Amino acid sequence: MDDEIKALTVIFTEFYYWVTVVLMFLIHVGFCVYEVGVSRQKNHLHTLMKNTILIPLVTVTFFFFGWWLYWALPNGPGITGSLVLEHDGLGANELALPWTSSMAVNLGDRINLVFWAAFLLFSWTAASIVSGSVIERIRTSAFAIIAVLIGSIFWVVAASWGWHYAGWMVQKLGYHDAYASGVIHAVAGGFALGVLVVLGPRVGKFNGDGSSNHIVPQNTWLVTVGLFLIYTGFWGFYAACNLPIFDVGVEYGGEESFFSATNIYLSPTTLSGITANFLMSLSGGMIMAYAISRADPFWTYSGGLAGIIAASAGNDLYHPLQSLLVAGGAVFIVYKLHFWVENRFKIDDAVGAVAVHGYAGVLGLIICGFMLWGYPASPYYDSQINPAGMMVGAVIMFGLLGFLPGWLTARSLQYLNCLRIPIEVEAAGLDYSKNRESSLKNESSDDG
Amino acid sequence: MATIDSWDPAKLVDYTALYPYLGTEIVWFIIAISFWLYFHWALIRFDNNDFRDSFESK
Repeated sequence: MDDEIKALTVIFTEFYYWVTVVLMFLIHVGFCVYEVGVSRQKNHLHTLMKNTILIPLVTVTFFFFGWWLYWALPNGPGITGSLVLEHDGLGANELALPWTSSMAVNLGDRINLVFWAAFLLFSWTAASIVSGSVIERIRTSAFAIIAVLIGSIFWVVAASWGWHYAGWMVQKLGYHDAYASGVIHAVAGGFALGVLVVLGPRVGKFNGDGSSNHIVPQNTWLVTVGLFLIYTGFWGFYAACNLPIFDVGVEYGGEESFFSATNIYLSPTTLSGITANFLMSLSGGMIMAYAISRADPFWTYSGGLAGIIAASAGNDLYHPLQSLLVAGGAVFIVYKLHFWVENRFKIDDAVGAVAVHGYAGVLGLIICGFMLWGYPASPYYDSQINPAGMMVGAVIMFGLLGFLPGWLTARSLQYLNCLRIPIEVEAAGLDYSKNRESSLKNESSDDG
Repeated sequence: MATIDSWDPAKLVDYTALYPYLGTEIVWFIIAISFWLYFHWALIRFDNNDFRDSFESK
């Protein structure tokens, strides 16, 4: 690069995404801490390692095929064009093939891999959402397969369809999901529900008469610190959903430059505005959850998260007061829905992930359809945000790309008898099983 | 095999990929895919053995 301004813009963008990746790492630290805090002591190590192992597995598979899928499938395939997206005669997906030189240190491309890394951290989050809901009874080997499917395939397809400036849902439905209420949270929440229906509840969760027992979080401090870490990482997530500098004037066909931050659809927004909306939606969710749960710490913190998620679809354009009230209203419904589903269908979601991510994500999409009704969904296509399109989008995200593949995956693993741990192991605790030999050796050496 | 043999400023403008063994990416890819699939197989085997042992120890 021989132009100083261009070099500054490119290298600032490169650094911007790098910072978001570091911040988003805290989301995963938070999920690990949170899950261990919720699990019972006899399952701590297994719970930690199950969530930890998704890091390398989703990373390598997102390099192998996840990134390619995102760039290849905005057309459907075949809904708005050819099988894979073509751009100026060169398929963007070709640049995302794992054996191309643009997927490595390359002086001609300083953005591709840091952008890949930002998306990868979203992938970890998608898999981690499912991880929490299934603790204490799923095999690590089964979860490893589930993590790859949700982290490197299904949420990526959702992003390609609805979180890409040329995605077919953006063009045909007027779908708008600026900070991923649907493409990450509704998809992962739906996937978790599909798995939970097949996996079944933990032993002792429900009684013979149909009543349920509240398995309280074993370490409230870990749970709260974990959720604080997720909040912190969420700042990086919001920033990573933006492009920091983009010439929307010239790029939209104008003659004069107008530089702005944009959302993922390349529509203008401001980092300043979304910062306020993030904080106000967090506040709306926390206030409502504190009130409705009567100061339960688990639900107060989770409600803050659900509040952000519910407002995220439109947080690039909402007024902060709208973000506050959207979040508060959605969290009321999310909380009630969680317990209704638990008791009606005997679903044991250990961390409330289906509610906090899935229901909040779906509600966020539907509310966004009404709040932003009439706004252009894309600067490049003639489509407008509308309630019907957003409702169809919510069904696609939660049902088609979430629940259905989750249920099918779990049924397949169950058929192969490799989904759930044996009941004897569940009763004794997974750490007892995993560490039995080493514990016995330690005891022997102590005796000796 | 080195892809770059000099940091001569006159050549920098023409450089793109910097990693070694340029042109052998498919080979690395096949090995990496095999490594990943092996891990899943090993993990399933590990779980099956572990849970079978837990039954036998009862």
